[in-house]
Amino acid sequence: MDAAALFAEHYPALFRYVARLTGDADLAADAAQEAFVRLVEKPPREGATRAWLFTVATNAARDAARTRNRRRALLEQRPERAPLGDAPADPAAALEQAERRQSVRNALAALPERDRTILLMREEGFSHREIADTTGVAAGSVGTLIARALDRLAARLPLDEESVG
Amino acid sequence: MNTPVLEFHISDGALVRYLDGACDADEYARTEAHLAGCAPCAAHLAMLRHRSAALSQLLADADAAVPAFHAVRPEAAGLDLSAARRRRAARRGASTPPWLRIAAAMVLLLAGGVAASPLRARIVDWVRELWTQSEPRSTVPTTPVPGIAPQPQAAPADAGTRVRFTPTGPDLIVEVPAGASTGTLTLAVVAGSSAEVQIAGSGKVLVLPGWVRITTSAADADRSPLAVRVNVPATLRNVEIRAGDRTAESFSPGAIGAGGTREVRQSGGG
Repeated sequence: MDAAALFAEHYPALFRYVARLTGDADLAADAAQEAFVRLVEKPPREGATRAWLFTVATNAARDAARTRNRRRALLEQRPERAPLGDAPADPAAALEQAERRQSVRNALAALPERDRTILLMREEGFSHREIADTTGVAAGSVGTLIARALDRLAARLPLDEESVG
Repeated sequence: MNTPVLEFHISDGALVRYLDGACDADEYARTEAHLAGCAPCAAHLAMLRHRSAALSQLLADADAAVPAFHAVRPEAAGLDLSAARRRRAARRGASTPPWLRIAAAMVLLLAGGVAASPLRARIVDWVRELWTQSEPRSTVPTTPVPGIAPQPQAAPADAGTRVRFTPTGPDLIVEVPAGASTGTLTLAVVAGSSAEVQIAGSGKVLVLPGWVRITTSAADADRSPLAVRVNVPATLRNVEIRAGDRTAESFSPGAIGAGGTREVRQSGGG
């Protein structure tokens, strides 16, 4: 197994997926890391490494989210303890980007976790069978759940506008 | 008598299956035939396709930047320091000092303008039960590690339940002052910075791009403390340490004088 090649191939999509799933880039980095560490330490027996990585990262993110929520609550009490970030180059653009990001996160967060996972795995190109294996739903139900999730998102995001898409 | 016309439409789920190529051949053919003669279903399919594309665009626009790790040495993955120590001990005989000298030295060279970029590093301890100490120690180990200035300091009686961090200027030293410690410590070096990591002690080192993960186990019978030294540029701005589910400890090494000590207690500590 070439860990470096697998990392180069899968890390960006894995990070992106978990960041979308959780709305937390730090948590996404940790969950993606955990998935790769497990890949190296205890590689899956069969193929489908990509789906395996996403499943592990999904579970790791779910486990870590509880811990992070507690930590975030503490940081909010002590904002001076929060790590510093780089100052944005263009504050107006950064604000607009932040608002856009927040609206998408809010809409995703309003979905049940299972539906969010299904929708975001679909975004990453997984088959309905792979999505079903990860989420534990019947493969035949995935399409229905996707359509329903899109309906819910359309109530919060401009999915039906002609200028988008 | 007029025969009632049975009108039916394709379900949303079936349309998504069609859209995603998840139909079998029969379902695909039936759906194709129906769509050819059913304007409402064709319109519904177009709507689902548009929503899917719109969602992709909105997600892409809102994505956080992917960390740009460019670390090297993935070939070092799984380096077993215990094995290295045993080999070295065999060569040196019974006079081997209690500390394993430098068991491994790794260099993470991350791409980017080191001098120009804001430099940050953080130490991440992410595993819930990070270090499980089997017994407390009353003092911090003082045996020097080559290249690492010793930091002899009296430690509280419960030091065995702590992970000690001793920033000395641009250096950050992480010590785990106990033998037979088990657990995992993860160091993450953020893109755009560079760092040199030296590890002394018994443990398994796993190197992945951007990360160094050090794991000790009860099987490490030498009972040597594990020390991790992280050399970072003097311009390092922020170091973050997380232990278990505790609040992150953030500090600037430059703001703490030589000999300054930062301790992070494990879960259950104060």
